[in-house]
Amino acid sequence: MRPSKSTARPARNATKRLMLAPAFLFFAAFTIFPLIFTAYVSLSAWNIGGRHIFIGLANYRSILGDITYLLSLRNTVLFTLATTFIEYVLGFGIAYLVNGVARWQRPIRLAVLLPMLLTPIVVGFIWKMMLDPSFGPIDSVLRHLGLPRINWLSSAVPAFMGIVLADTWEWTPFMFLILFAGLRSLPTEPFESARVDGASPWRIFWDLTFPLMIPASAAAILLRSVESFKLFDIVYLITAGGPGVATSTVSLDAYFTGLRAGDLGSAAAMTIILLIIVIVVTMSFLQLVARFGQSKMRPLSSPKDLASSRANSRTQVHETR
Amino acid sequence: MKRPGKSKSTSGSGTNPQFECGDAKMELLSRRLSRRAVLHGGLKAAAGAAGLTALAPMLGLVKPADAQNRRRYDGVTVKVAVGSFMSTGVTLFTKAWEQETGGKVEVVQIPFGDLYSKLLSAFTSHVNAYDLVIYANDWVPEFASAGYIISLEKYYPEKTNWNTVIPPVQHLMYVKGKRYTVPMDGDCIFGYYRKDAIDNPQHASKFKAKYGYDLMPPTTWKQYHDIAEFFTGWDWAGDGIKGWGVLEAMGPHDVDPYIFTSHATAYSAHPDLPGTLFFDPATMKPQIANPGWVRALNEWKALKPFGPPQMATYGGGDERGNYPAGNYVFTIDWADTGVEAQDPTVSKIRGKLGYFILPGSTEVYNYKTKKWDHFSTPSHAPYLGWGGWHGSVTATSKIQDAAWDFLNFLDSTRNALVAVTTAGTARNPYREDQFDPKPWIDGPMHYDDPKPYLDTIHASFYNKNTQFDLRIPGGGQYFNSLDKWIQLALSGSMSAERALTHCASEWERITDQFGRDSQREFYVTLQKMTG
Repeated sequence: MRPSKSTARPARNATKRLMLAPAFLFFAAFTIFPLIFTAYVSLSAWNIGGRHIFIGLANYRSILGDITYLLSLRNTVLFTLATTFIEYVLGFGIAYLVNGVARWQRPIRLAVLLPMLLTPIVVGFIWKMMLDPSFGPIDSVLRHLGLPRINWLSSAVPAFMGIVLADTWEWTPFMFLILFAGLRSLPTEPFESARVDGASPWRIFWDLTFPLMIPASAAAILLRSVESFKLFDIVYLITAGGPGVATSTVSLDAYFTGLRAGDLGSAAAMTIILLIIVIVVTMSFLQLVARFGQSKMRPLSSPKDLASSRANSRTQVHETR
Repeated sequence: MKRPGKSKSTSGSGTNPQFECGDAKMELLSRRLSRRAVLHGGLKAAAGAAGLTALAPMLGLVKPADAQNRRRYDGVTVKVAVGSFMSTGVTLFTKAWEQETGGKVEVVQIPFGDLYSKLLSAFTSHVNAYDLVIYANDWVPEFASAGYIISLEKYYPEKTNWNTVIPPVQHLMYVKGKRYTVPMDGDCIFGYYRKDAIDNPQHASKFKAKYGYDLMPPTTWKQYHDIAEFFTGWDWAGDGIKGWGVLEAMGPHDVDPYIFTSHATAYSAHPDLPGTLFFDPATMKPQIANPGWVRALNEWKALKPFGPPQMATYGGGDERGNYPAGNYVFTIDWADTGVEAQDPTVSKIRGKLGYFILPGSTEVYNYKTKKWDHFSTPSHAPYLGWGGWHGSVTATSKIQDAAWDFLNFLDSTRNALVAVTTAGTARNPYREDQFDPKPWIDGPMHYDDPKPYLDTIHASFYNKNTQFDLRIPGGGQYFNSLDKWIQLALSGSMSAERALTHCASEWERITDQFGRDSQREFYVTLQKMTG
């Protein structure tokens, strides 16, 4: 007699759970536990080598009233917005162009990816030298063009721009990689139909390419912005957060507070606040993308828009003639 | 013994298959027996040999190992933790010690910025990570009072050269009357100047015409400022490159708080109130925001136009790399810049360096009267920033004697002299014999005219108003706070007064965190070291 489904399912479920258990334990040990421990440390007064004392939210009150932390937080948010936007636009543009290239695509892709292959320390040193006003090539080029010298590393705004430049150089290839893969995976039929119907390149891009690329774009922007919030290595090497705190970031501030000054409680609180911000931003972004994606997809099903597009493209042809 | 049972044979030779099978099996058996015999025999032979070897000395067949050939630390490995900046000052001597003692040295280099946290993590986890640690003297009271390092008093009777360490550095070996360290280095901060700028008669006449006094190495910070301003923006070196007046390490999260404190001592270290540079010893109220410190920060900020713009991000390493290679009249640093300047492959100022103790002031703030006191001659207050590299034996070490032995070896009179006269060791003079110019001239770096260099260092140590660094628990936190707030002032985000007031509030919080009474006890000990 065969076992009934009701008796077989529990046995299968138990086996599945058993098989998943090691992975779950690993996840719990190396992801969940450190997170809980960090939250616990953030509620303590704990110096390296000292006893820890529970102090509740005192660390949070202290750092939210600390001007250097607030400036570091501001810098981190501005930096994330700036670099993610620039890298997305550049990455999309390069991916679009390379996608249209028929020959030499592989070596071009490799060349585009090269900056991403370097370690951040090397990138930091390269850009520190490039931006040096006395010995760096960038200032040398500016002088030859008759442009004024820029104090890249010693003035607040140029120093910030210098960090954005270095990060953009290193991570635009990452955007390119994801978006290029997205472009390659798009179905060809809608584009063929659109061309047959006489849609202009801009209409094809805006009504077809861009909406179809929303999932890939969302993934790229999300991944890159989460990493940008954690910026540490480039700024540590190029400016160490200076001049003053003009380029200081939350990660840098937490590092110096925790591991140089030994105040682990405050450092943990800084990182927990950043984590909360990143979670809120991520959830908001995903909701925004979902809504935007739905609204962008609707015009594709409207014959009126396609007819209008056809009429526009005929007008352009007559004008050209 | 019964023969093996028969099996079918296919040999077709007409021989008795039963016999063939039996033969094969016998042959196999005999092989096995042979193998067994060989193994047996081999084992017996090995056992016999081992027994003979063990008994041989007793039987007089083999001479025992010569006791004189055994070295005192054969088979012992000493683990040494050292800041990467100073590691050459250790590795230069490891082979010699290993050959002499039979021991081994395992050097663990720790990036300078992580040294404090890494050592503390090792100590507090009570693992036997290191036998010997070489670190900043500023941390000694903290490590000693927590029991992380051992008192070396039991070893010092055998150390015959400890009393030739110059007295200010000797003081730094003690915590509550016991010696916990062996010094490797003498730290003091002083000034460097370009002789081809200051000693040039044409420059001198132009300077006097503009400022109304003679051009000479500065004795006050006002003179330092004027001279730096005078030499900024023109080719005073005659090499076609516009020069600057000053190059200092103003960058954040580096040596900036020490360089700034070098500027502040002239205004805040009152010669009649020893040991009050950082705190009021009676109340532990921070002095960091008093008018003396505020004035120093304003003047330090005012130097920015006289140096290259990137000076605002320069750390100590950047300063030492760039000063010898460029056209800057002044710098303020430890003795390392002088050493770097001797390397002709990277330096264009070898033979052009002059030296001066930290400039003073004719006005010093009196924190008790809350007024500025005036002096007829500049009051100088040289600053022994950072305390120098010192070595200690850890409490967790299982081979403390061997660790001491190596530490003592590093500080033998000969080795210490070699270390301080060799570039790249980060060990600066700290013993009387090291102030003799001859070994510097004859040594590996062939120092060009070392006497003024050594005289300036000596004078910095022996000035009656020389200031020790902040050598109390949490010193790193205090200086981290100072670093943060002076950077905000330097960048123009807030005034010097407001920045240092915030810093003083943070210092109060740190003091309370560590215990005001305990911190006072350590600080008063510091006070007894000065004046």
